[in-house]
This record gives sequence, C-alpha cells and structure tokens, in this order.
Amino acid sequence: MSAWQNWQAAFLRQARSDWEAYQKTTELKWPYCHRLHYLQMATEKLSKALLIAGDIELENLTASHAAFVNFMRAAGKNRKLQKTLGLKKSPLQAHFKKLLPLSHEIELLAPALAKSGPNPEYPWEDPSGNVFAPTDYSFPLINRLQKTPQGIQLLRHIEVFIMRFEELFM
Amino acid sequence: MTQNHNIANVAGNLIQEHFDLDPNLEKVIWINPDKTTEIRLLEINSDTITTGMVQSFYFAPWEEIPYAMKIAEITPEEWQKVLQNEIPLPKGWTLENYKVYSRELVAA
Repeated sequence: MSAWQNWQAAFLRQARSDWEAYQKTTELKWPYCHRLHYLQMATEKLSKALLIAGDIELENLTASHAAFVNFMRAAGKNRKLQKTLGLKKSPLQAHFKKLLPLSHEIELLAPALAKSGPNPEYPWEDPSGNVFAPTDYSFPLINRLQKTPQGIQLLRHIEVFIMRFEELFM
Repeated sequence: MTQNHNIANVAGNLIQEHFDLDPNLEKVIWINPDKTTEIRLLEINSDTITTGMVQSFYFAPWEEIPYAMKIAEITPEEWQKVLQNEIPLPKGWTLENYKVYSRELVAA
C-alpha cells in the first residue's frame, strides 16, 4: 500500500467508526448534539478519504473541516453512482444539488466553521447575549434530516457512501 | 489513434458535458494535458463554495472514461488567487502547461 492509500484506509476506518457511533446515538435518548457531532465527523472523514486520492497535501487535509459539500458536488459527477442510483447524468447532478443545503448545514456544525454559532461541541453566545451549551440546544437540523425527504435521502446516501466506498468511489 | 489523442477526445467530451449540465460553470482548466494516464480538471464555478484551497476529488476509470480523473471546483475569485500563487494547486499539479475551455469555445 502506498502512503496515500494508508491514509485513505485510516480516514475510512474512522468514518465508519464515527458512523457506527452516530447510529448508536439514534438508539439512545441522548441530547441531539452528540448525534450531530458524530454525523459531522463521519461526513468529514468520508470526504477526506476521497480527497486523499486526489493529490491533496496532507497538511491541507487536516487543516480544514470544509470538505463535505464539495464531496457531494463531486458525487453528482460520479458515473458509478449514476448506475447505482439508476439515474441519468443530468438528473444525478440535480439530485445531489437538492441535497447541498443540508450537506452545508452538516459541514457548518464543525466549531471552526460555525463561527461562534450553534455547534455540537462548544458553548456559544447568541446576538442577545444568551449563552448556550450544545447539550441544551434543540438543533432544528435534526428535524430536517429525519423528517424531510431530502434529509432522509441524504442520510441514506451517507450510509451507502461510507459502507460501499471502495466499490462506488475507487 | 495515439493514447494522447484518445485522452484529448475523452477530456473534450467530458468538458463539453460538464458545460451542458451546469449553467454556472464558467471555465474549465485542463491541467497538464500532456499527462497520458489521468485527466486533471480545475472547474471554475460561480455556484461552488469558497474553501480557500483546491480540493481535487478522485474519479476512478469507468467504462465511458477509461482514465483516472481528478476534478476540483473553485470559485472565479479562487482561480485568480491560484494564478497569483496565493492558493496552491494539489501535489504535482502545475500551471506550466494547461488549456482553458470556455462555454463559447466548446460550443463553437
């Protein structure tokens, strides 16, 4: 295995472990912040597992948390997915485009990207001066993920991408 | 047909298809077109999000496209920064040799 393949395998193992943790939180009555934290981490590592095959410098890969939206945009161009999902080229791209706003919301959960706003890890202050702990916050994103067609589709895709990564992307 | 000619045809068709599918795609830069084993595309798209870096994603060879591809989408502002060496290209990518495709060019 080359160096990048070792890194890819490691990112993928971590994505799968984060996804497993995410699924476990859905079985428990834990605060939503934990569920979203694992979801954000799983999607970031999934995206980076593909980025590492694309000549990115390792320091750039670990320096930024923004990758999932671009990963989803790239998925819209993936011919293997086109076949797996039974879509033609144009509908495939349109299908993934519809999922980008929610993908962006997941990406922005990373505290570094949340910019002093709601995130699942650290307390923040709203414009009125109220300080929130993630554990007390309701995270409207949870409802959009679990109760809208786009959210349900996105979560299904994430699971398939993580579990069948080698077959679909490599 | 030479391998270089084949890869040029495949890249040309792919670029045209990407312009057809995405109205926000402004330009496509084929980086290092002298490479005969993979296609590297930098897509300048006003609809993509700014990350401040060039994130190139890998696409495995496929029936219609029998070459490995690496495609990165960046904003027009990020492209200007790449040209000014303020944003680095991925490992091994250079601007010593590249071709620029516009919507008008591929439609001609």
